[in-house]
Amino acid sequence: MSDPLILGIETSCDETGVGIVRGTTLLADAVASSVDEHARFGGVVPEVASRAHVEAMIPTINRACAEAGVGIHDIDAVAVTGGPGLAGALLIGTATAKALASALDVPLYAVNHLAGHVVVDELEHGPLPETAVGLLVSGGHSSLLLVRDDAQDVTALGATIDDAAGEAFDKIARILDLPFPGGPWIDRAARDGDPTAIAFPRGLTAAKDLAEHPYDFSFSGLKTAVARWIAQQRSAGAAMSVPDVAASFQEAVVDVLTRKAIQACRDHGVEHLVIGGGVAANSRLRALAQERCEQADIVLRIPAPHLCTDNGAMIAALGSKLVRQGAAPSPLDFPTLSVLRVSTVVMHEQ
Amino acid sequence: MVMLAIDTSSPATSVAVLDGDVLLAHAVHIDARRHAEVLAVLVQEALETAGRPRVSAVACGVGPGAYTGLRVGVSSALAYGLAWEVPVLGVCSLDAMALAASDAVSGPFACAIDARRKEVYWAQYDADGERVAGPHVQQPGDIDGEIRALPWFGDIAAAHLELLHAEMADTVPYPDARDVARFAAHHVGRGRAIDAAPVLLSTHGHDDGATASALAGQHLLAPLPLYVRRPDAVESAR
Ligand SMILES: [Zn+2]
Repeated sequence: MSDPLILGIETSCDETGVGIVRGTTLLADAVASSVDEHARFGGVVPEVASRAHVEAMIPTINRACAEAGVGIHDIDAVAVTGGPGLAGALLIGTATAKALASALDVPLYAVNHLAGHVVVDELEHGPLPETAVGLLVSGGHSSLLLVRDDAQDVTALGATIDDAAGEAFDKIARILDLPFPGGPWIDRAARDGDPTAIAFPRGLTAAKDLAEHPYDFSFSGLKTAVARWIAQQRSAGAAMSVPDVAASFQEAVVDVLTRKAIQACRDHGVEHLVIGGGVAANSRLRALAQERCEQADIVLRIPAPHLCTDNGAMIAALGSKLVRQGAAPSPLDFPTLSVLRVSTVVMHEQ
Repeated sequence: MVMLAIDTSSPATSVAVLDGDVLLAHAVHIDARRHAEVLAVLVQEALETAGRPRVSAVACGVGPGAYTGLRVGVSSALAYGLAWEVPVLGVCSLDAMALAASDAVSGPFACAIDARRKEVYWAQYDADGERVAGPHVQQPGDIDGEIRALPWFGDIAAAHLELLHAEMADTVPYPDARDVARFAAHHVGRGRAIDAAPVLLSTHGHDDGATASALAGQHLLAPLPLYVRRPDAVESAR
């Protein structure tokens, strides 16, 4: 008998994602993004995102079903992001999922978005090991997770204490007059730059900070330092190489991210590192992570870029894993929690 | 024809199952912050009470009202429609109130839903309960004096007794799914085909009167929230 067919719905930020998965096989991954509508605001506007989700939801479900070659009645279970994320945006996904699951009379799994970013790699590289460290970097999150017991037990090792890494990319891109979202533009500009040209600070890496925040991140100081450096160059009328600034800034971010991720693996005796989130598409992060993992004998797993950004496939993948494990489904009245703790992989009682 | 109706445009989450003229099930839960938690449960219970009928259309109050509630209602209605493969009809929630209010008055009247920020969403109706103005969003004091002197319905109108003639307002405090169902069934029955082209409204419209003109003479609407206002967001100065 084949594995059940799982539909996953993701609406925690500005992407309306619907994925369809059977076992660990990805059948469809439809995403509608409202990113263009946010560009003129220079960042994600929650109200604009929510309005877009309502309009995109059903067409995206239909597109996913068509892509997978299945009918809505073939779905055996529905999984949805229950949190964390933008409260208003999450509600569109959860309301849709509740109505869909109850009308189709199939189980509903309200799952943790962060765990989804790690488990999605099963669609690309096969089953995860019993234990792995997850490094999640995007405009919304920068965190290190310890994923144990086949994703049943997830612990937050650390997170950003101020800005997310992706936010820092957006802000520096804006100062450099590069478009939103800034990540891909910084990456592109940095390819022609010297990462050692300017020594920007590495947040929370001093001995004292490392003792207190071994796995936490801070990008606010870096952001300020880069902004100040650019302002000084501009007011002095000095020539400034955008590629050098981009490369030096990017190096400061990915140096800290990879250093702390490798340290987390070492400290916990973990041999597998999974990187997810939009910033995982950054070419320098991939290269440096690969280099440092090889040195430390750690297996690096990074899903394809379209699976790293927010999408429905990651939620379907996690739902599929929970179904295979026989996990209990969520009740119809589960609340949507914008601050859902990472340890809650699937939501049960209120 | 069995119709499932829902309305989440006010603090009330309400659900009704209507078969022709017969109300098979009806439930109202009042809690402005829990539409998303209670709606699917109320629907499931109502369908159970109604004897698990085969539903042939979903009707949804599309506001105007608090955005979060509207989005929960509309998203849910669309998902039921998708799963059951039945049409989803939008009804202006003020029109549903007007249907209930027209039983209580004989002349023209007005209905209101809370818009927060000291404003109300409102529409004006003639003696037959046909919408003649609105929906608009305004502070009660800014509404035309002649309209303010009409009988008003809606709990938020009752909160503005000094400005609105709202002695009877509490007889129809909120939009109710029962009236959304009656309204939709009535207009479907009058040959307004449920698959007729719906009014396409920009959900990014603000109250420049565009929503009111687009809705003039319209009864069955596209299943999309009636925001009336534009989103509050400031374009970056880059
Ligand atoms: Zn994410």
